[in-house]
Amino acid sequence: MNESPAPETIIVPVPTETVAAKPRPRMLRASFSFAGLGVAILAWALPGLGHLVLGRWRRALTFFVSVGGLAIGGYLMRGNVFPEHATDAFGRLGFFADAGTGIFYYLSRFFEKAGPDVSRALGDDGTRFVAAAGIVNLLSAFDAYEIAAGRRR
Amino acid sequence: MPIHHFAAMCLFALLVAMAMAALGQRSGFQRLRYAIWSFALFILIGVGIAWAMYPFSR
Repeated sequence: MNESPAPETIIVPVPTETVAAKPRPRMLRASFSFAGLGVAILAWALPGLGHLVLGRWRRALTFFVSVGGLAIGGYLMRGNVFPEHATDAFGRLGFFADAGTGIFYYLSRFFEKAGPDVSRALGDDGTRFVAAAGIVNLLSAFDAYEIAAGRRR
Repeated sequence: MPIHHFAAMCLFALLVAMAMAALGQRSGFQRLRYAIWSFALFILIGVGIAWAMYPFSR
């Protein structure tokens, strides 16, 4: 019987030292935190509450005074508050910014009984005050999320 | 509510500077320094832009 010869196996030496010596890149994992989400919702609903729950009472007070002062100042200047059923993109963006103030958005009816008046420059300033309050509060909610998730001190 | 335009700008600068300092800085002294610095810059840049627009106001 004619047997065929076994195929030759080629062994290629792998330079293990060089592979081991290379530092592996650290993978950044963006893990979702449910506790962080809860704290962020609290921080959005009442400015400063998220930080208060986390024991950061100074920052909580700062955000409450800052967001509350901007929002109530804007209402007293008779700034425009965008409704939730806005039709155009500008109105929707305005509503997104205003709704960022959380509970202060619903207090606009209490402080602004006569309605907005943007025919004066001060009324226009008031619109910017309310929008800035919403953006500051959204940033504080992100900060509270990061602290609760353990990514910030 | 009678409030001067400059007073409104100062109030805005103060409240936003406070929030920015609380967001950006961690220690108390750094936060205070950052808040004072950003408040001063808000006022200076605001007044500067107002003066730059003055020739076009009439």
